[in-house]
Amino acid sequence: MNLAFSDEQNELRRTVRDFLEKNSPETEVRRLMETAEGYDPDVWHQLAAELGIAGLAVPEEYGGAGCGFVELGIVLEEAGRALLCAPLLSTVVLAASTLLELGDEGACADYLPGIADGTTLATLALTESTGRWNDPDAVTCTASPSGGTGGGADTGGWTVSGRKSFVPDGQTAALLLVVARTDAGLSVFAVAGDVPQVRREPRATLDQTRRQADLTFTAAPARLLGTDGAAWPALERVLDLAAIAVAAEQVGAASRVLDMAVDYAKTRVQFGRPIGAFQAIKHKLADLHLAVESARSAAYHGLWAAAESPLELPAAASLAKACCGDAFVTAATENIQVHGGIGFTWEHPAHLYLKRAHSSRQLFGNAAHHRQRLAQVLLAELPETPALPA
Amino acid sequence: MPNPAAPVSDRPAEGRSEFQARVHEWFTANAPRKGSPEDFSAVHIVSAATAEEYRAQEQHAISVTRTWQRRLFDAGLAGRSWRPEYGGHGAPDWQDEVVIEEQARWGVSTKMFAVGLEMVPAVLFRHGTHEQRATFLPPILRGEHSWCQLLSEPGAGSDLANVQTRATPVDGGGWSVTGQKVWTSNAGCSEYALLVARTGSREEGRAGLSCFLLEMAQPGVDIRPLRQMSGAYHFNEVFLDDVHVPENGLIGAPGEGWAVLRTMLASERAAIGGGTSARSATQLVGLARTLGCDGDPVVRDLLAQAAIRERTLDLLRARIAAGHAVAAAGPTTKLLYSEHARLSADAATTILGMAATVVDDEVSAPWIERLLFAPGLRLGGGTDEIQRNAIAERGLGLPR
Repeated sequence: MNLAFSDEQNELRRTVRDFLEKNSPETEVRRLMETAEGYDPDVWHQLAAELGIAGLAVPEEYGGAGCGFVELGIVLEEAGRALLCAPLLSTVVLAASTLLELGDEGACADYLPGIADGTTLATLALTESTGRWNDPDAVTCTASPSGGTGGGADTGGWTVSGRKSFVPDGQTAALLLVVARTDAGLSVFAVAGDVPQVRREPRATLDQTRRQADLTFTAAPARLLGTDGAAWPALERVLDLAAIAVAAEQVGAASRVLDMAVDYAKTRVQFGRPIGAFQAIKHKLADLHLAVESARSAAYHGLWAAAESPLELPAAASLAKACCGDAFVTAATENIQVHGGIGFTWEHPAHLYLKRAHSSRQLFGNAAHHRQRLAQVLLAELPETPALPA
Repeated sequence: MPNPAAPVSDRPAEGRSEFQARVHEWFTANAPRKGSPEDFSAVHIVSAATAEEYRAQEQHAISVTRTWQRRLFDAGLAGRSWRPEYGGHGAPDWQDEVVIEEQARWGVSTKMFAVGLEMVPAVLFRHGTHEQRATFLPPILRGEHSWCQLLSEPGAGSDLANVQTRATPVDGGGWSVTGQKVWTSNAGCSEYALLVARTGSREEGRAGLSCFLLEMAQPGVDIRPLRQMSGAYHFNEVFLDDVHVPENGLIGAPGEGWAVLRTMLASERAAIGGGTSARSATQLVGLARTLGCDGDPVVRDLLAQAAIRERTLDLLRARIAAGHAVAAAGPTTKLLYSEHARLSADAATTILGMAATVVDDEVSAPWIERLLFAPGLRLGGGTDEIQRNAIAERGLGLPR
């Protein structure tokens, strides 16, 4: 296991941080929160096409840079820090990973180059009304062959019907990767976002920096990706990668709010001293430091496992998501407490991070879910003779 | 088949996994057998009805540790990172980690020698003279000298700068030391001690402190065991009455004691926070399985929480070793370690249920021992609160 970053990876971090400081300051985040699209197409184009962010983890044969998940994780950590409003999680993590994990070479060749150069926005439509990510039984959307060859190549020969909820960037994605049930089992279908058989209803989100939509499919033309009925194992890996991606983002954001709280504690004076001189504040911030550094360790390990160690991926993903989600919520909550009244206002950015924290904590399974999953792994790995303390 | 007694030779360009494989090979051939003089399974320091009984257990443990340390030394596995002129091998630090990890795997340990193996070299390399290093370090590696610390006093706990024990220069060279120390582990089985004493006035505070190397077996050193909450007599009060320290026993210059102490305490924190964790998360899983409650989601949540704490601490240590900039790394890992120990013992009591209320049960007894040891981990090497102050002030830059 190698947790050290290379010079190139450190350089990537500096480049992305500089770019986001210029292009995603708080004023921009607040402006985009109020727009219908929820992101800035120009900034996305620069990130995707000029900095090559969208294709970082896409293989070169499909138009990407062929780097690993570690590089993508560095970008996500910085994006989390800046609360970047962009379709990074939906397009680059969820959709690209789904295409790659399904292993459908034709679909990869057709869709990944557009994702890698930033022209295609895409997402994964998995969750339905229950909002459960990791439960194949919760999928009720259906797909059936559209019959004969009448559909032609454009329609792909299938139709999808049913309703999806909580779909990240579901209102803007041009390419929807929809999980639906066929006679053979769970499968993934490519559906165009702008066809009349798809109704898109944006949700009012707690975290205005990340959009969701409900999608209703009424015999929408669809193309089967990969093998009919065999999608779930691939989707489980996608969810693990997505959990690690969000964990990296959470660490970046948690680290940012800790910095914010520390800076404020050094300058805010009450009772004639900076409040950071009081032990009540010192110890609170020291505890946040423990939480953030522990979370960062779990997230970096997750990135390493995603890039290098498929066997360890499920446990690494659960470790990262269980740890980072709660660390970010704690840090965002205590940041407001350290700031006092000003931290409770709309004008102060503290609430933006709290909302991102609570919202991203539920994505791809919350901490309680991932702890149960981790326990399952631990029990499965336990040697036959129970170990007792020496 | 290699000769089992052959030492592990130095190969300067070797990578970690190759070195690890050779160390593993040596352990496979040489790990202590049951009934041998270095059989750690016979080492048992839990509690004792009397201080004498405890002292006998402690003497046995230290003698096993000495024999084992000597075996490591003869095998070329002691002091891998120490310079050759002081008995070491001049290898990178990670080779010491490999040896410690391998020891944990075989249930053997040199942790009773932690002061000698960690803190004495940290202090002498930074503040000592070549002569002091050449005199004091090699016998530690050979398992001949055990060391303890004479730091805390009744009036100087967290506020260590308030030390009142006095060291006065004597005619003909050296120092005379008088005072009272407390919370000293291994006082009764150590040849030497690291001592902090006041050479200046009370008003000088930190600037009046100096650190010394003191020989324990001499007139004027009176060791009185203290009984701790678990029933063990691990700690001692040490009364010093006109105890002699020769000229070369002063570390650095008079008045430099605070800087030496800082080095010593940082090394102690790193030793506590950076050592191999007891694998309590795995052991908790085993406990739940043994008791048949591993299907209970509440128990499973406790198991996962323990695993998360343990794994993230291991990963944090790996990041620190890989050169990541982690603010206040020593206090951070020490605090995480003490929390893990406390919360894991607490989780065990939930899993044990009523079995946690008796100490004559072989399943529960080791966990109760940990439960009663955990409060000490939160105090030794600087309390949790002192660690939080250090993180906030030195790590995050908050005002004092």
